[in-house]
Amino acid sequence: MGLVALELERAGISTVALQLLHAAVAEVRPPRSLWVPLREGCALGSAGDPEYRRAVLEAAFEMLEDASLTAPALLEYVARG
Amino acid sequence: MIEPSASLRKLLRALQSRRLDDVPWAPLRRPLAECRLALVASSVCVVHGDAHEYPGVEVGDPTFREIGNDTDAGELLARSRAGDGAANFERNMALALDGLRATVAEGRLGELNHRHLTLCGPVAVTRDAIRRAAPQAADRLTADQVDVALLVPT
Repeated sequence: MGLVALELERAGISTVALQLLHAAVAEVRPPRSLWVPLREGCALGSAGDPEYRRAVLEAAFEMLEDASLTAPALLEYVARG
Repeated sequence: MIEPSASLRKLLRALQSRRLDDVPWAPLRRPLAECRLALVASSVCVVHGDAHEYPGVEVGDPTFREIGNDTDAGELLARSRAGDGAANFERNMALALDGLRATVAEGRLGELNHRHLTLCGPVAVTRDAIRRAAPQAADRLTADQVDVALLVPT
């Protein structure tokens, strides 16, 4: 996925990649990565938890809007109380 | 901490010699509420009446599939609940579509592209992924005048 992100950014498309694996981020270095520390297949939580899903998407959107970030940017998703 | 699978470890080893020092960076060109977003998911969604098969999952398949924005997220979730191996990958696609539609309804995001892309996740065929599949994905989304892409892993 990180390889695709690199190509999209070269084409002028802003990207943010949800990530489950730190190792992949370190090697591929996608421009914007949001690490979501959940098990595989669950980057957006469970089907019955739309609030969590919405919160992860909002965190990803905020990365896109944050003009202070520089590539490669990696943030960890932290659930908001 | 999640450990990478065998296929992903193979990919990562291949990438170590290709590590880029200059990472491309495309800043947002307009407010998110005016942006068009495409989803790129490591999924193996099969829709539009195709046979329910998942070629290449085991060894890595660098080709893309297109998922229409009108795809029923409930249908994808139902397949996922069937739990037949790779079908579970469709779960993320369904949840992402569902969540993104909500952000458009709220006005937080402008709109969703008419199509989204899926691929089979970690691809062992690194050279193919870099030289063919990834640029093809970029070409398609550029032609659609997509502003933003959200990438969701399996």
